[in-house]
Amino acid sequence: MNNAARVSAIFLFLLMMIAVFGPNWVRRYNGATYDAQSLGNGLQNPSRSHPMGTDMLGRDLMSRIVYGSRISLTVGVVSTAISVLIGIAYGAIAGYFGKKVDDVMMRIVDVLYCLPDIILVVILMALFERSMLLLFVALGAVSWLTMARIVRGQVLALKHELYVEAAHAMGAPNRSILLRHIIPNTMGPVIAYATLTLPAVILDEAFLSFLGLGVQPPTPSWGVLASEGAQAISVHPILLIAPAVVMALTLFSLNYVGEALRVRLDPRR
Amino acid sequence: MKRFIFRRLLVMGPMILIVLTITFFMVNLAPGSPFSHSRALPPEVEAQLKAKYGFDQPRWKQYVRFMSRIVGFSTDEAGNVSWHPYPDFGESIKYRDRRVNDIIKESVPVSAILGLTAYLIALGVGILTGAFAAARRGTWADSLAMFGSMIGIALPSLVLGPLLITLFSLTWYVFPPGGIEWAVEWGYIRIPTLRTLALPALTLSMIFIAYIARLTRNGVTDSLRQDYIRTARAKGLSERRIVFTHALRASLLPIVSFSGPAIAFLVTGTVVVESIFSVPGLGRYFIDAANNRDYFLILGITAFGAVSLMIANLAVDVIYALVDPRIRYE
Repeated sequence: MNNAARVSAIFLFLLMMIAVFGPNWVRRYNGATYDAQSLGNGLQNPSRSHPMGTDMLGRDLMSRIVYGSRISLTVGVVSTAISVLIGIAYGAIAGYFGKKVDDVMMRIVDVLYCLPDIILVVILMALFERSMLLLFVALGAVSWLTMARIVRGQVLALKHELYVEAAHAMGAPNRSILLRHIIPNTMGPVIAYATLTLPAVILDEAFLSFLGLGVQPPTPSWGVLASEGAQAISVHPILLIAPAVVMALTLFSLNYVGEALRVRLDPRR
Repeated sequence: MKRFIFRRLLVMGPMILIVLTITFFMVNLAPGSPFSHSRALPPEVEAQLKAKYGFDQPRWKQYVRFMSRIVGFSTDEAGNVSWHPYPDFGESIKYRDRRVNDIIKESVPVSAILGLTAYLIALGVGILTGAFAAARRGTWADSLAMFGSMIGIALPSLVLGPLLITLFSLTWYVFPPGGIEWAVEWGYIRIPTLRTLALPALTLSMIFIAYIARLTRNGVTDSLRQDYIRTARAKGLSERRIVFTHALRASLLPIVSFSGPAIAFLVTGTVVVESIFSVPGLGRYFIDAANNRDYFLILGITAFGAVSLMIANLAVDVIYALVDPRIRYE
């Protein structure tokens, strides 16, 4: 692993800690929560009690960014997990049973590739009652296609390995061959690709929230914060710049780590 | 090759119908109606509106009516059925008395010109940066170029757009902060002035510059290890010539396959950039339609998006075969 990836991994670990424990730390530090308003103290510059200043409604920006990181990362991780689960199940079944099953299942993936996915997500989020659950499902349901292809390719290669033949010969049922012998061995590329799916999903969430279709205010997420910051940029630029820097560093790190993992776990090496 | 294209075009029809069917039922099963405003309409008015758009009919009848219009049959007020060789998406619900077809025809050129400008910027800057980085691989110039492209990936348009506005319209008054002025208005074809197009196009192109630069750099670096490059070196060609003509050509394929979906995405209108800069393109109409449950407009724009994506994918396959003689479709 190169240095950039190592630094990125450390940053991601710290960010995770902040997302989990940060809101409590901030509250202990200055008593602020993400939704506590103080209308007389709007748009304050950074100070001792508000290290990043306050937003238009006098809410502590640091507390909102820390809590927003929790929300954005949760959306990213859960949606990616959903897409990984669908992708593994679909790809493994297609690859393992092969022939007709594989043909039909992969043609379906080809068709789905031709659907404009962001359009579908926008329709879902605009028409149905917006909730975190719907956001998870919508984002997860449109981003599993490439994962399914990767897993299928792996399974096709793995299913003729000797240990799989051995399991067959010992009379192991298909389900346990898949779950115990094949899928664990596809994990390398799966993890690498999931690390690259994560920033894409985080970005999608930010876009949706920016348009008012994702996470609903007053709950902050990076997209919500960016959208609020964009409205105030000419009077108080830190409102956009602070969340943007956090989001950029995260995307940056995830891409570096993902690239490094992809190279490292490449089965062809 | 001709048969391959023909077959792919043939499959496209049913696929569009599947996409529209899924979207139709998704839109119809969603709670709420296009007429539920904060101020409730008098019931008789709402009933009349519903009758006007056919929402008083059972769902399967609405579906049949919608689908027959898609394949070109339309019914006028007297009940006469006529056929024309293009789909008819009906009337918009929010923009009263405007047909969805007209809205699409009017906003597609706007989105397309914006998208293609952004793509051309991205292609030029991206390939140059990538080839430059590959020629200087391993030096600080290479690291700097690749670091720059990482910033492009990590700085989404929703951040970049407002930043550019602050810099170029609020600090230095170079470009307008939003809105479009027309240089040419010729029926449905309207061409925006360069001044109003600059910021949105730049914002839109940034991430594509980054991707294309990375693809080019990796491609060129790979092909510089090939034997024919050694031959070119042995012949005494200049390093610039080797990188820009011999190595670059071989690394264009990944850019082709990246460009197809990218162009489709750009042409269909990019919602975020169009809302930041108030560009009256397809993306803005789409968000509007989704938020107002303007069913027919949603369906029309979805169909347009799906068609452009499919055509782009087909074009990628065809160009692949033209560029790379090893690929044959039977």
